[in-house]
Amino acid sequence: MNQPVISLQNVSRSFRNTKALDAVSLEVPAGTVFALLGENGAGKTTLIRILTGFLKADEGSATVLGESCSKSGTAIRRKIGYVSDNPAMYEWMTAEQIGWFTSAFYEDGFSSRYYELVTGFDVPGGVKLKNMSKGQRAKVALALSTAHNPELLILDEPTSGLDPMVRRQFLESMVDLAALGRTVLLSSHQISEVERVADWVAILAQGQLKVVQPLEVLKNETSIVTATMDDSSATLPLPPGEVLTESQNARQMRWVVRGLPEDWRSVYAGDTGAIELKEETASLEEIFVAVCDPRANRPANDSDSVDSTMLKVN
Amino acid sequence: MMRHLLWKDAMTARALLLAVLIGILGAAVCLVLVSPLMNEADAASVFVSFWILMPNLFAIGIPAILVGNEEERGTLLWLRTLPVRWQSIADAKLLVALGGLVICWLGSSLVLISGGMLVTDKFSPFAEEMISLEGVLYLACFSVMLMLLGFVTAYLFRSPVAGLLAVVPLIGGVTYLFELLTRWILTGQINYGGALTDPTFSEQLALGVATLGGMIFVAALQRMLARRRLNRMVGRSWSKRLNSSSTGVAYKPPVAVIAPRASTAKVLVWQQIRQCWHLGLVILLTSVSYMLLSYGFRRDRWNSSATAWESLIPLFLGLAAIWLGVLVFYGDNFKNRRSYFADRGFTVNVIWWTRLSAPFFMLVALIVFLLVLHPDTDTLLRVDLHSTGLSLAGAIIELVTCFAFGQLVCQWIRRPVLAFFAGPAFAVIPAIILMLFASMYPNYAWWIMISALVMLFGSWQLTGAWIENPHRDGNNAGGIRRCIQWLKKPEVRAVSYVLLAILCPLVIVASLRVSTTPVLRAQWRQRLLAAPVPEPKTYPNGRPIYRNLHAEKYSTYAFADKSERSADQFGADERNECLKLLREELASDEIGSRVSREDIQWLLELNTPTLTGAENLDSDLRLLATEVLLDWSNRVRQQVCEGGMSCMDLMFADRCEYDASIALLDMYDQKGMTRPLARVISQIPSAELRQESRRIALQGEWQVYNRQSWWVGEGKSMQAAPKNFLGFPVALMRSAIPYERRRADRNVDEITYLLLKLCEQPSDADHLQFQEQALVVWRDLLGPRHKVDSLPLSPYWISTQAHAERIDRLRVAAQKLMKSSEVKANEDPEQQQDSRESE
Repeated sequence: MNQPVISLQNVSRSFRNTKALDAVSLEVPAGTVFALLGENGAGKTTLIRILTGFLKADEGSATVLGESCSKSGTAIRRKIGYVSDNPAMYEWMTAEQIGWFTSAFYEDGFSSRYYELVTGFDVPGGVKLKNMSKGQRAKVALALSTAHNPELLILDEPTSGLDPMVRRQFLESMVDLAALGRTVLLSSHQISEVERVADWVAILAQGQLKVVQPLEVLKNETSIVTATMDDSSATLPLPPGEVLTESQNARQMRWVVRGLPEDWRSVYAGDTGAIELKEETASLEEIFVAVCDPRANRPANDSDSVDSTMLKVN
Repeated sequence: MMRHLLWKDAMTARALLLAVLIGILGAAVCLVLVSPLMNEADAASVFVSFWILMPNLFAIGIPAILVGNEEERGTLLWLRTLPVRWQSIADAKLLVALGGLVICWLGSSLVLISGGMLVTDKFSPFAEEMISLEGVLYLACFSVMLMLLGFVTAYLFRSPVAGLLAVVPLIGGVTYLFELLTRWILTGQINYGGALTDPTFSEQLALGVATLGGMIFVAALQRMLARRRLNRMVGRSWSKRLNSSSTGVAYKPPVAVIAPRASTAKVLVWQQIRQCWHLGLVILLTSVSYMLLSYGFRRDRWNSSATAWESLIPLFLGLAAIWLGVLVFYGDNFKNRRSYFADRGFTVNVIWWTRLSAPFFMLVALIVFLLVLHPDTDTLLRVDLHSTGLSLAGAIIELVTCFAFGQLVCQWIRRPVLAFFAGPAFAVIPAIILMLFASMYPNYAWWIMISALVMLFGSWQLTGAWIENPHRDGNNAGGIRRCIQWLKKPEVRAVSYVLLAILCPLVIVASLRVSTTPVLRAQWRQRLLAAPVPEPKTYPNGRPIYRNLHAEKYSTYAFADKSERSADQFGADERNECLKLLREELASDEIGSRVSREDIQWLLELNTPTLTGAENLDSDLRLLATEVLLDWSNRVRQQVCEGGMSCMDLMFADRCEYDASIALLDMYDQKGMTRPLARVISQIPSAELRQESRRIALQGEWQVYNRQSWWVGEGKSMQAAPKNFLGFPVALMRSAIPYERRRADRNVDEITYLLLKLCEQPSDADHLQFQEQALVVWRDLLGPRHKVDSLPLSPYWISTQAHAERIDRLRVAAQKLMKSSEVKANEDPEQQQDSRESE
């Protein structure tokens, strides 16, 4: 089995009284698009800054491409492609100039690949970066970070503020890279888009890692069960499996359940008060909300609670 | 709403205000600490200069911070989207700037004037003029005008730095215009070259009205520009309007082929040049313009401010060098662009030296311009740093150090615009210390370059942290770990490097001075302290008896009128008069009561063969004059041996003896040895008397030196002051430093020891060695302010060998004559009788 490209073991980091990351452990397999999801302030950027060596973890260890993040941050950043949430660029340069400028720091081949990428992205020539639109600047940033053919690409909310077409272009290029054997770690809260491209998903909430699973497995394992009751005051039993959240809307009960067995309907056989039962596959967004929403109602399960048992790593 | 705008602008201005106030406090503390090393009038002037400088730094910087910074961050644009009038925005900025200026003036006045009064009660005329009512009014108007001009350029230029740099020539121009106006009001002429008299009331009124009018005009101008900046629609620029076609281009072709790959260093240098060349050019042009103007004024005799303008050149160039240093990291600090390097893991070394490249080249260009534009190349190129005035060596030291400081400050203060102001404000403290060091040790001034190297090393060390911009929020570590984390902060490390840079030259030079201090001659000192020096004889009322040396005063006798006449014009009456005076002098108790040494010298010079057509005066007159000299020499030497006369008096005796010996040898060479000549020769002081008198005089001088205290005054006014030795002050400007006082004492021991050795008529080789050693010690003792080419008590004590040989030759010849006369007298009694009668 391939060595993981990224490995974190019990990484914690605090800022004053705020715990930004709490004992996070995960491994990113090579050749995948790995999506790191979380709401604002969940700890995604902190985790990425630890991986890129800008921050030191208070506890635990992190490695990227076999190098320790705390000791070899500069070397890691030289090897990978990194686009931060607000990439710094010399805005008085044109796309050609910044490509030429950056080519000096990488091997031969950078220029031609950069040229291909910006041409493919339709980046206008002869225009200074400060006069480009946000999307065009984002494309230039992406081209700069991938033109040297890095083994790993780390993108911190790269599509933030971009229009849907540009976002789609971006994400499709991620898929292309993964197909070539490169690994992409992508942090975002644009769930619906990530759902289209991600191979693996990790969900961070309030500094804790709630989920790490291949996307398909996660979706296959998570269902939304809706039961219509004959009376709004009726009490229905919980469906079998791991109930993540429960909500009621008049005479409808809704559960997000993991590991729903095939014969789950048998629980409601007889006079339980349920007059209609439905099951559907949860979207990633629904899973995300179920995992992360602090106001969600989480009934006690027979099995372990969400906080401790959601982490499933193959 | 206004309150909120004021609050917002006050928060923006806070950092600069704090920097200036810290600079004021730091300057005051530094000045109080170093003022014992300066004389009181100079200390007062320095205090007043900083009192003026610091608030004006605020005045020049605050418009760029309030307007330019907001423009750069985009918040000005955001303000325009809010329902707020442009007048309110502009008024809030002006009010905050005025308020801050008042706080700076008050703070500066309180701290610096109080500090100044702590250390001195005396003010120089400059200081008194500045702290008078007229001076304060003038300074207030100047500050406000400076601030208003700053707003004009801030609203005019989008770049805050361009706005800042544009203020400098503008205020220069306005000051010049004000000067012309003042001349016109007071004299009716613009190019009046004389001194200006105090203005009358109506002239003062006219000046006041003119000043007020000027300020109103500038205020109106900045208001108009504020309206233009804050209120106008953003349209196409005038250049685009000139070149525009009716429609834009619908399609832009894609990126052209990228240029071939270049080396890392080349691209980084290219990038640095591209992002800082325009500001560097403005700095250079402003500096060159100021030099041209100042040196040009020197040639205009009517401009009495020429000296003032020129005297500010070192300050101006120092400021330019600091700003060139700030340019090193300015471009990458702008909008945090340095993260570009961090995101890609580029190496620190190549980034560091390529940041330095272009601004350093501009610094070299500045030095070259100075070399080219300075009107007096000889003065500029002098190597010694002792004299006042700008020298190339001093300029290099100053500019490189300022540059190094500026680039370190820019790394530490990452707000790019603030670095342009904070740099000069914080430079005040190290500048005071290093300038004082340079004035005390001009021979060691080159060690200040160590400061520059330390600061450059510091910025190299900090470049990694500067690029990566580590997260500023600490975690919950407590105690020592937190302390260690705080110490590792880039700001703390940068300040540490600055402190190290200041300390390095001081410590190195102090170590050199201490390590080269002569060793203590303990036993020799004991002997010399114990050696008896005759107490001067005094009258019952305490007045010393031997105060009878008048002979150095210029002649007041009849001889003086003859100074322009030649020997053939010397008649018989005058001859007799001379003889009479000389005989009376020989008979007198007072030395120089009848004739002076000038008179004798004139008489002897009349006899020199070089005088055209002159016949020598009869030898009696010459001989008598020489006899007077020898009589003086003997008496003074004896009085020295008996106590009451000093080394300075002994120099008189040496000179008389020297002149007499030269004259006697001349007479001997011309006419051979005669009995009268031999008689006078016998009055030459003996070698023993000569040596003894010198020994006692020098010993006495040394003992007097050791009895002096390094401290003068009492209580609050007590301060270290140089002691005197052989009429010269020693450890000048350094007497407050303990190791310098010790070094001066040891040097005095050394010079005394060597001079005593020279008295003992050593061999030629030893004589030369002692002389060379003594000269080195003497130079060190007097310090760099004195140009020392010879030893004290020269040349008579030094040329003892030649002098002794001359006297020996005369004595030998005289003895030969006396012996042969005795032999003949023994053979012929009549001849003996005749010779006795002639004597």
